[in-house]
Amino acid sequence: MMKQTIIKCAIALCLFACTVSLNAQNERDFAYHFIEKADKNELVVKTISPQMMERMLGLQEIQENDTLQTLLRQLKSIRVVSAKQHAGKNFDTVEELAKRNHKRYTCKYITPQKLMLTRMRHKKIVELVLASQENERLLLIDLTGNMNEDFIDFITHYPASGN
Amino acid sequence: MDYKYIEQLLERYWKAETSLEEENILHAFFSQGQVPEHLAQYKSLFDFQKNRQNLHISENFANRIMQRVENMEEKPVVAKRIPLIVRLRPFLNAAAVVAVVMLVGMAAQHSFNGENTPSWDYNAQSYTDTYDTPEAALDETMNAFRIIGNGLRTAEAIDSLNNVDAETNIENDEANHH
Repeated sequence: MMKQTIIKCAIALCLFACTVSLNAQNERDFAYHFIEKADKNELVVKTISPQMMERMLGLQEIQENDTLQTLLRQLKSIRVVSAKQHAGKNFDTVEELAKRNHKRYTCKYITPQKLMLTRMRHKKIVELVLASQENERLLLIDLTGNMNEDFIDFITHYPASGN
Repeated sequence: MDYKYIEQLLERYWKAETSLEEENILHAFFSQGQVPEHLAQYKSLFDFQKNRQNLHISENFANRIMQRVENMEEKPVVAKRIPLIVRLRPFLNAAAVVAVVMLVGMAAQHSFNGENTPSWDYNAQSYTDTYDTPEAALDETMNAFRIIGNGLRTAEAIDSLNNVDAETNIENDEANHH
């Protein structure tokens, strides 16, 4: 009887481990969920996949720039979503999504025009989302990766114009 | 003593041509104490046969067999129902071993990797590239960095404003106390 219980527990643990490992890389980013909710006809989506990120690291320009190389290594994907109309409505959608997923995303700040969210995992920023509305235009940028404080410092002081 | 007759009988015995009377003569000959040296090798065979002849089944042998047959008929053979858990036991044992190995492996991997464990848990398949070349993708990345940088500077400005507000409130509180 005892042996059977142990076996059952072991199987349950095995199934749990399998489920966890299968779900381990099955998450969707904030931008993906926003695209699902918003009117797709209004949106222009630009995506840079993890594979393209790897290819970018192979560029000579990046190879010669250690700082950029270090930063890009911390990024896995970029999604830039823009809507040229109904910025207010789309910004409300972003806010609603942020509120609904408040356990997953930490709101770094929110103003009537801008909203910044971060998602932490294992003490690293795995997702950084910025939504801003200006002149009826909404722009949502979603970076995913394993970003540390150095990354945030660099981006914060990255020149507003030019490279 | 001449043992020619016995030797002839033996030869016919090996060929299975002897009658029962002749075989009895051979048995009687080999059952006596003294057997000539050249025929002594056959004595053990005839002694064995004589001993076997003395073996008989017991008188109630038939009754005992019949009783056993009756007992078997009384208890019809019933198929034994094996529970599912028992039938699956080999598979369960195998699964348990796999589970233990997996758990040990995962624990080992976790302890070896520590903080280097990748935190990124997104489905890479959900990203379809917009750009064909890494150069174009890099331009878009730099553009995203610029916009995010603006956003982060706003965050810093808001933080410092909040800090100034908090300091001002503390100073006002202190002034009111005085």
